[in-house]
Amino acid sequence: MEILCSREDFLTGVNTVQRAVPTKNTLPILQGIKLKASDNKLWFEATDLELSIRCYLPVTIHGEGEVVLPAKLFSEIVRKLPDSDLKIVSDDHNVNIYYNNSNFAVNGFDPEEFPEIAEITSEDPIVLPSALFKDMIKQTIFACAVDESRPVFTGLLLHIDKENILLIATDTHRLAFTSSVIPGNEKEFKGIIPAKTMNEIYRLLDDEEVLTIKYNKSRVIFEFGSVQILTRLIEGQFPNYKQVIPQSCNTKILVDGKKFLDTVERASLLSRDNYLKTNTVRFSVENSAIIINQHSEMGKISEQIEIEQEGEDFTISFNAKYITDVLKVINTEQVIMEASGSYSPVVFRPVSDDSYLYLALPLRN
Amino acid sequence: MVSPKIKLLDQRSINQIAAGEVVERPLSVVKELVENSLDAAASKIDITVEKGGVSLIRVKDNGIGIPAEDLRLSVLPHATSKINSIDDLNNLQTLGFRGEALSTIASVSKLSILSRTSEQVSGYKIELEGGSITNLTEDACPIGTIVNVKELFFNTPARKKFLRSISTEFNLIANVITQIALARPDVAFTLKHNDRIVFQTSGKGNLLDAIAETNTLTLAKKMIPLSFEEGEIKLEGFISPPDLVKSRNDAVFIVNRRIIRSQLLNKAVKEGYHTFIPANLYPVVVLSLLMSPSEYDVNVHPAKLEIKFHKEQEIYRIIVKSVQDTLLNNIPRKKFPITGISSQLASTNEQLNCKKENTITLNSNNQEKQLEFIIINKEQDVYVSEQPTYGYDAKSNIKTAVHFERLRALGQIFNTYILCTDDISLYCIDQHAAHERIRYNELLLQLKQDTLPSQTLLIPEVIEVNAQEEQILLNHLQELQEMGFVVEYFGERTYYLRSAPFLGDKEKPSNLFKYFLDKVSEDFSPPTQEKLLEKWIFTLACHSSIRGNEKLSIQEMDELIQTLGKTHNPYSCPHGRPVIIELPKSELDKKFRRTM
Repeated sequence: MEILCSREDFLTGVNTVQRAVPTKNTLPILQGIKLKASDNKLWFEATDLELSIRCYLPVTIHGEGEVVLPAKLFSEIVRKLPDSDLKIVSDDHNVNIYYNNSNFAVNGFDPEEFPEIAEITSEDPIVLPSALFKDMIKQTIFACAVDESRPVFTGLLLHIDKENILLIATDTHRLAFTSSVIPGNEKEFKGIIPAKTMNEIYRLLDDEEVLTIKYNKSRVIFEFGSVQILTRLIEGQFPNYKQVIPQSCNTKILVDGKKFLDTVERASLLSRDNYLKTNTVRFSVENSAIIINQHSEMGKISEQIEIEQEGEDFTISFNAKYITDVLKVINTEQVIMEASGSYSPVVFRPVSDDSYLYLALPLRN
Repeated sequence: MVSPKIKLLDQRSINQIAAGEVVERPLSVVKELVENSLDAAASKIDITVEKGGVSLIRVKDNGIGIPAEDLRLSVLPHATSKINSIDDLNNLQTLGFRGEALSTIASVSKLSILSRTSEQVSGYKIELEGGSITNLTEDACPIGTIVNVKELFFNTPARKKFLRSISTEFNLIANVITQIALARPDVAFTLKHNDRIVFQTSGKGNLLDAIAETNTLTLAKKMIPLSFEEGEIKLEGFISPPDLVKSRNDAVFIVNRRIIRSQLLNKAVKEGYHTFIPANLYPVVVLSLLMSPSEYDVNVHPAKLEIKFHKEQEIYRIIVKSVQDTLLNNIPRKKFPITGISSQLASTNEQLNCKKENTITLNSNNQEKQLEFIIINKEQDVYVSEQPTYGYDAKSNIKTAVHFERLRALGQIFNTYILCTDDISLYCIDQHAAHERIRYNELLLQLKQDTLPSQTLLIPEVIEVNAQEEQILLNHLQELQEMGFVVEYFGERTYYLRSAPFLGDKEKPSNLFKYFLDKVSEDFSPPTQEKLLEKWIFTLACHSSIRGNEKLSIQEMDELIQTLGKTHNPYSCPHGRPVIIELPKSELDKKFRRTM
């Protein structure tokens, strides 16, 4: 293999795929990034067997071939190289990077050992605008569970049904739901995509691009620009989210999202150092106002926000993060909250937009 | 095939079958015979064992003896002088009562009993082989009884085959005699194996002497007396300071002078030592409970090792509390009544210490050659305003509570240990352990002030329980609710967990719930919130504490020492490791040969 390219392009390729390299793994070969030169394209590939990222650069190729280089060392070197044109020449498993009048040699792995990332040949890919998908990820991904004990909750349910697209995430304490429309789509897809994959899509996706989704029963490829993200779907039954969304409420309020966010963030400062970092915030809704009166051994806060209130008064406690997370992603100035007493779930939605909904469960004291 | 006829077994067969339960191995024979001697009011009992008890067990006592006319009766099954009817069990004063021991032993060995009461001029001897009387004659004998058991299991080869090695069998015997000797310090025991005296107790009636005689003098010197009385229950004994621990649990529990095994009592002691010692180590404990015989039932198992208390929870609570209190208010040791231990006996002990496993203690044998740091295990309430004890006798090795308010930091060594002094001793404090103890107490306090909120679950967790767990669950619904678990019946032994104490993503709600059930079945009572969350409190305390290898200023060290002094147990970290060790001035004086 012998190629010519700029250091900047090269770094882009490395950065794109590097997140798929597992931090810990028993298979040493997975700690590598695979480079493959063919057809005037230089392909970068990395995989942890769950998630694979692949991308290519247009480069000048003098000799085709492939190598697998240790990801950590390789990316560090590329980062520290001077900004110049590079010549990369492979010799057996090893690679020489020539820059200016110098060169750096890296010993690589046997490319034969690197797992083949299987293609998905789907005649009927789903095509949708990137900006839309990115927005949907942003509005839901934070509600995924971190704990791996119940895998279905570590992913997002993607449900495409003809023109409708839904994305849902829950960690069993809260749920975020968003929907949109893909005009003219005829295809259907339903699967749980790991949050890690979604994160990478969100990170790499460019607003201007078009996103293509190819899929089979167990895997999905997201393609955009020169990037391909392949992922395994999470197996299991996603809970019936429709069932848990309350259909009615006793109190409906309209609050300025930014003001409420700031208030909750200030109040949570007082509970942040609390026992086991519960980060509780407690507030009452009464006389068309949200009232927070909170104190801890560190201090106290009293705040009042004017709101529009319909229905009965109530007092409720939340993990502050469950409120701040959603208020950060709702774009409208006013936010609707629907509640039914102290122990029932509270629904948050943007004003005059039925496509988004967030549900949080209160804490009992 | 002709169907076999049902018939009553002959008495010999019945005895041999019953012997399987009562006489399992040589140990059981020794135990039964020694208990008989004790029930016969003996004050001196000599036990001789050969080849692990297989070839000979001889128990000689100076008790009341068996009248000649009763000798023949004594070896019959269910013949006993100890009770008249089953009703006497409620007021049982003797160790035995079943009337089975002699007859079953007789059925599996060559037994002879030689006995004389004070009224008789001469003794009588009865000899049996495999349960049949072979000889009954008049014979010379001191007052008391001598029982010889030869060729145990000679007629039950299957049983004999399952015996372990001679040394294992003998160790078991030595162990049980040690325990009995501790239960009865008023009786002089001698245990001989293959003509070698293994140990000897003086029978002076002092438990500490008995500990010294059966264990080691060093150990006995370190033991802390425990005494507690509540209502009808009286608790007495000795427990080891937190620096004297073993890797194996051989706590001795005595109820009304009867040796018992009890998971309940073991749990209670462990709980009493909680955070004083590491979880995987055990203290040395000899505890004697005095209570009305109607408060428990001994007729649970033929070997009578297990007993059933009627008020389990109360006994658990009393033991936990008295152990904790004793450890915290541990009285200076200078008053310990160690008397009459002759050097000869001490040396016997040394020769024989092979039978005892090694005690983990900083007090090594060659302590004279080493600079001895003593783990401080004494505490008095530091808030009690008392006159400074400057009349401290530097020569004696008495350890008292550290007066933290008088400590001043001298500096830090290895960026890990704080050196400080109260001008009486030099102290070394582990900064991480000290801070951990402080943080642990702060967190506990916080937790007591506001309870952990309960997080309702959007999607309830389905929990399947077994029959036992279900009982626990149903019996403790109230406590579960108070702690923040909301459970709902779903179907056969299946429950919905709708709400659970909020631990962020630190633990799955259902795991926490199962943990609660486990704690109840282990500890005989529902855990408090602190107990349930202890694992996380420990972790949090540890993570939020300063580490070793961290530089501190003198001000920081002084502050740490003072805050430490205000915690309820400044001497061990939550994991039970020591926080502070002492090097008394007297030790230094000795090392530099300023005093002799």
